[in-house]
Amino acid sequence: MAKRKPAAPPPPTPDRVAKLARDGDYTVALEVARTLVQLAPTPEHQALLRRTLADAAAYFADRDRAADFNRALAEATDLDPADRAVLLARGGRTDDALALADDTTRPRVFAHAADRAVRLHTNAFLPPELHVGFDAVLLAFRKHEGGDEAGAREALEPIGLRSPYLEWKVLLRGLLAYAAADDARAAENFARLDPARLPARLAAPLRFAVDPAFKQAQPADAATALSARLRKLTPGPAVEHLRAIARELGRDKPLTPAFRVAELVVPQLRAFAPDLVPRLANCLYHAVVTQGQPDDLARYRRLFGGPPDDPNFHKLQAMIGEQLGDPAGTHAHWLKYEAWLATHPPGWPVAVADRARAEVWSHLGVNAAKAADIEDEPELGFFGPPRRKKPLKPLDPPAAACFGKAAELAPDSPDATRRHFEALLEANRPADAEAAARAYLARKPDDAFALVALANLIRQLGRAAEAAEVMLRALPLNPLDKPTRVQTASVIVAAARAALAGGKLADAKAALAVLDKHDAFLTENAPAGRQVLRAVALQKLGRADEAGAARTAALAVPGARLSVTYRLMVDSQLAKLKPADRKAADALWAAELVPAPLPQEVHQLFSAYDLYRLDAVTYRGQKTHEKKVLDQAFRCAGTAAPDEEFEKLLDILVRTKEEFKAGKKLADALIVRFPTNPAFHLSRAEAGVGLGEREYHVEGRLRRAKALAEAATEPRHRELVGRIDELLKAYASPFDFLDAFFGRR
Amino acid sequence: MPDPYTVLGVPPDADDDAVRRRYLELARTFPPEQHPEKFAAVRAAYDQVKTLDARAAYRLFDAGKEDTIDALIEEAACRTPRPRVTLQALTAAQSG
Repeated sequence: MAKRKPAAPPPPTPDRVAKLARDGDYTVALEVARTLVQLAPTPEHQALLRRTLADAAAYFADRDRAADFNRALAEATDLDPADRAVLLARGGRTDDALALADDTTRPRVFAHAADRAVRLHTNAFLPPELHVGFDAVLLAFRKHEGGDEAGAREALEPIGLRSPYLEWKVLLRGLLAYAAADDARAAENFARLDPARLPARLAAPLRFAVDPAFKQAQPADAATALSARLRKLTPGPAVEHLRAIARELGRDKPLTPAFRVAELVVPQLRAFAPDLVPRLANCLYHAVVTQGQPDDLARYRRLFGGPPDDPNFHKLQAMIGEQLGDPAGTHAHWLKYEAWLATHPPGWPVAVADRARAEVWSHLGVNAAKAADIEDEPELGFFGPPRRKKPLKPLDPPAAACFGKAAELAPDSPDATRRHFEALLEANRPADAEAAARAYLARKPDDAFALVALANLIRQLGRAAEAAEVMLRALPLNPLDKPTRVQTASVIVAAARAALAGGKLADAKAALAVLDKHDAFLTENAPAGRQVLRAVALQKLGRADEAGAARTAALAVPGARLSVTYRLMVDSQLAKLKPADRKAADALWAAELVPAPLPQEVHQLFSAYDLYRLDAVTYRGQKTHEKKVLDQAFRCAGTAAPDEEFEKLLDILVRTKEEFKAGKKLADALIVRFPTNPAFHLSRAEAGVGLGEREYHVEGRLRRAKALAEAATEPRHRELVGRIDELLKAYASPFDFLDAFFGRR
Repeated sequence: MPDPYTVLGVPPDADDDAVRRRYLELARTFPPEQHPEKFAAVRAAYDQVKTLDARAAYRLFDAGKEDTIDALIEEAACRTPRPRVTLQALTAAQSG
């Protein structure tokens, strides 16, 4: 294997010098600064080198790196004598510093010499006049460290305002205040310290802890460094234990180590911050939900007792069951938890407890509904056809009963009512569903969603006139909503059709009356349906010319020729028109079937066909028409229409109507015509899933669709990627078939 | 972050009206243009408990979640008895 070339060093820049200096790597910082001057000896680079030499000398002096210090100082030939004197004092060469210093510099020299002496606990390099102050500072520290606050203050008395040890006096006052938890006084003292002196640098982490403004002003890297120094100064075993617990949480690993440390820290917290114990309990409770094991319940209970809001861990176990997909366990635990809530435990306001019970019953309902879903799963995948899993034993109570209890406990909750209603429909109990909806609407008559749901239900039960009345109550609540308007118009037409279906002249008049009552509304929202019914009713009443005009108007609605002729044929039969009129309607329908339809026309035909099924209308020949209607989908494949119209039609065929065979046939034809349209490949794959095609075929189509979608220029095609990815998740592992074969799935 | 009842200053058995009244009082005291962070906290708390459904859901699933381990660490650090910091510790922390 060829050796990799070492990475080239980054180019020398002033910023790099500054960063290295901030990181304390002055040796490299000086090298870079020297290189900069060599490459480009500008005044700025030379000034940078001088500054870096001075800073490096100070850095080395504070760390007793005498050799480095002397080298840096020797190289810094351009240093100002005053600055050189201060550095010499900082580096312990006090005599040299004093020899160089003038009267204005001497105080600074003494100050830095004093700092070094205190830091090293030695006055060996101090002039004699500084010994008294040195002794006072060290004595004050000894007193402070021994807990003798008064003694520490007394020891500091001799240090006056001009003393080079004044900074140390202020630092000690700050330390005394800090130890007494007087943060304001501590911060005040620390803020008075000279940033150029050692006491300020030593106090920085403590000031970080007690001075919010100082903390806020720190850049991120300085804040991190000060936090780390603060942790060293205030080790606090409880805090370290809590940090250890924090490291274990959110790792998707067992919580045993966290509980072990919790056993150590709980007694410590009880000693100085007992209110933090229940809060720690909360943290661990929620951690058990996401990453816990069964043994953790006993550990938790030993440490903290039972959680006040979940004394027997039923809620916790129910939530875990939901996560792990254990419907039976989830059901059992939620039931027990609900029973406990029903006792109105102390600390639970009654209204909140009952509403919480409703929420728990909703969870039970969702759980029961999930358990009742039976999925086909290919057990041998690659090698065999799909086979049904064994259904789970139905849970008790079932979903509808659970949602019913939720609705009972929360009668004004739209969510609870909706779920109850849907569960009753799912359980094929339409009468109960209707009763539930009406009971809710008696309390909340202006709930548009509930009104529409009720209208749809009773329409499907064949009571179009009633459904129309309910929709007319829903419409004013949402007058501009297009789907509501279309739905209302549709059900009014259905009500008129229902009236017409009596077959008598009076019925035809009644139907016309309904249509005329809502004339303007229907003209806007159901033009074809309105005209078709009018044509049939007028024909029934012998008003042939008007009927003809209505037929012409219906046929003039764009894209409606197939749906209109289909409806004319069916409604003529339902209205029991004369045989000649029915024959004419049949012939009109047959004639319109001859030319290949456009996709929009097929779409409208599907809608017309579906509306009869929605209204529970049956008529002679309906089964034959089902196939004829479906066949129109493939017949439109070669017509001239925008591909977006074909996409909509194919989507309805595959995803809404689940007519997978017809969808497959149409998709195959469209893929030949529009090979780069990802929507057709996607629909073809979805049809394949519905037909139980081999996984690798389906996956291949999905991947082709995805590649086309990603490369597409149309936004609606690019948006398909998300849908494709969701489907591809089911085909994640290429070796699933091996797992299945060896019984690992 | 404290629980929503503490932020709003209402008892856990407060009804919708009491919660809403208190929210409006606080919104007037801390309008968003002048106190954006405080208002955001008040608003977030209100959203958690403004209806009976919300209060029940909060009590069931969210109560106690605001107790993060990081918040506990910070609070414990502030309340740990203060040590007498020695000169040796100060200089060691600086050079370490």
